[in-house]
Amino acid sequence: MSTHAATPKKALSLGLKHLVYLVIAFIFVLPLWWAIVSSLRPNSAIFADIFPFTPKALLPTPPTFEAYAGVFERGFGQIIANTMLVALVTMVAGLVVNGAAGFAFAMFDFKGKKIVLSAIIISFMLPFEAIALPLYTVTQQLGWLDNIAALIVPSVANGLAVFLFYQFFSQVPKDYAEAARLDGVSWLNILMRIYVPLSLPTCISAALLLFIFQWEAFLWPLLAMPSQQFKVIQVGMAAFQQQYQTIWNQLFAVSVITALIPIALLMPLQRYYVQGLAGAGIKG
Amino acid sequence: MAGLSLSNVRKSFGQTAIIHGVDLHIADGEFVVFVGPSGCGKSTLLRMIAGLESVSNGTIAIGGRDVTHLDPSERGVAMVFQSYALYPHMSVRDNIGFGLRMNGVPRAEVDRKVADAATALHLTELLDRRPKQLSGGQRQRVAIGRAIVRQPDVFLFDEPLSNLDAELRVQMRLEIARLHAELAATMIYVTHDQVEAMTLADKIVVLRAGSVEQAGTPLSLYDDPENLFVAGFIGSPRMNFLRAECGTDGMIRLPDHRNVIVPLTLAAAPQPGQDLLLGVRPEHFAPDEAVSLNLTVDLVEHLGGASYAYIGSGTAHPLTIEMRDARNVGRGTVLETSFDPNRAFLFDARTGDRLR
Repeated sequence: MSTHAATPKKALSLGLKHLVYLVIAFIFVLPLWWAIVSSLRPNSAIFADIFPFTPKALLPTPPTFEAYAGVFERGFGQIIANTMLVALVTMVAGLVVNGAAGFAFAMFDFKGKKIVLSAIIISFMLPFEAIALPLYTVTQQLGWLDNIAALIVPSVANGLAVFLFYQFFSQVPKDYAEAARLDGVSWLNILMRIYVPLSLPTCISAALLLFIFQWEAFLWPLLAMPSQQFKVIQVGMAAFQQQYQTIWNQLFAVSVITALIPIALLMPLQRYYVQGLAGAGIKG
Repeated sequence: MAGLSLSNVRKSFGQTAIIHGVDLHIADGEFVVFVGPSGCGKSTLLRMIAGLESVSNGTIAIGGRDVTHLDPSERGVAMVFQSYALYPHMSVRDNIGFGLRMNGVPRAEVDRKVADAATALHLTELLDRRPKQLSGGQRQRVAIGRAIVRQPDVFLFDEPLSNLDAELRVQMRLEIARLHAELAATMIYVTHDQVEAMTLADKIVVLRAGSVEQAGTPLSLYDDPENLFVAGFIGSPRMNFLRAECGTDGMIRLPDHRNVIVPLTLAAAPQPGQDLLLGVRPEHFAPDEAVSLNLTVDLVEHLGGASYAYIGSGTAHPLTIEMRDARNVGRGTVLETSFDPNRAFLFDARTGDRLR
């Protein structure tokens, strides 16, 4: 009896629940959807069907790729390539430098280790704006203004990445390193052949961190490249908002491209996060 | 192959001394077991021999060569870790051959040595597996294989069996003994398990709080302990200690057991009134010996071949008595038993020294 009575009630509450989920999901997706839709409209039709609002505002009719074509005609391909170069070089150099630093902190005891480590931790808590001006002075004195080195070198050493590696390497049982030392394995080989394979997820997290950091950089490239001969993506994007007009559809097209590239990089690496890394060589 | 000698080896972390001057000579091919309660410094001493801990003072020589300040890899030692320390991302083959490959040994030779070690340890079918696909005993054998291929002068084992279950422990114990017989290499083995120490060792070194209490063959430690600690540590179940007193007449009496007199032949009689302890092993109680005691049994454990009666549990000086064919003994039984005073040991209760 009771099950009979409960069934329609249950169905109703389930339906209501899902309706609420849908509404919430819609609210979250809306800005992204709006950006994609707008990038597929001609600039003149950007604000069509909004005042008064019609459902047509949520679908581009008909979709046009004119904004994307326009973006690349303005040389945005070069800008993406520039940013890729800066981000990838930073990532590779950063993995080497930060990984080695993290390994040294985890493996060796030396005088002043705690102080240096604290300084590194504080360094990534400082907002970039706080060091932008001193960094600019140093860069200028090195003669690196308008040089690609100014974009890459200051970002290679990253306190957060050092800390990530330090944290992970200190959790790896010391027995591995000790067993290898007894076997006469050099420290470099201990790092490269034992610790790095064991810390793939950490390496990938750190790599993404460094990549995204450069991908999102705006203020520093703007300061360090005053002549704007070598533009990166965030600086390039700002150029779509001009003094007298904003090219909305191209701005949205660039935003979509800018968001898609890191997502495309992230997707295939996702499984490394999930992959459990148990200390299977330890204990029975 | 090489012998090993430690002279006045000390270790301290800041102000805290961990090892207080150890002098020890280990002959070539000897199987030496460091045994002691946890925190006695046995693992630290082993790690100092391996070169994983620095030596604060003193010298370590292997095969007559001073290795005190050498890098671990230059000492000619191989170590089997308690955790096994198998690299989880490498196959068994790579785990065993890793050290050789990293030292530039040609691939063909590495393969041959790995195959030889695998045959000796029955690992041939498992060479392509990863450590996590192995059982505890198999991992243990891989760890030993990794030590063997390097053909070291000295093998070091740091509590290698403590992660295995009881049955496997007995099996691996026999395997390690067989290995020692085959390789005839010097081996140093750390354990807190005195049964492992008794069964494996040519020489046992009993450590306590960073000092050597006594070193000798297993039976010499059992038959002739130098102090209260060694007497209590070696032998299972542990030795019984009965409160004893020396009267003005020079006779030793047991005040807890109706002042029964224990006729002992001592070089020098202890001071009257000195606190003494008389040590008697559970297995040395028998029905018709010279000194007899009447005891009320608290608890009995029947193991089939032998039975253990526990008396005065919870008191300062409980007793355990091993009995053969005592199936009618139970809780509350008044047991008449006795021991031979020639097999008993007398100790100073305060200093723990043996009185002879």
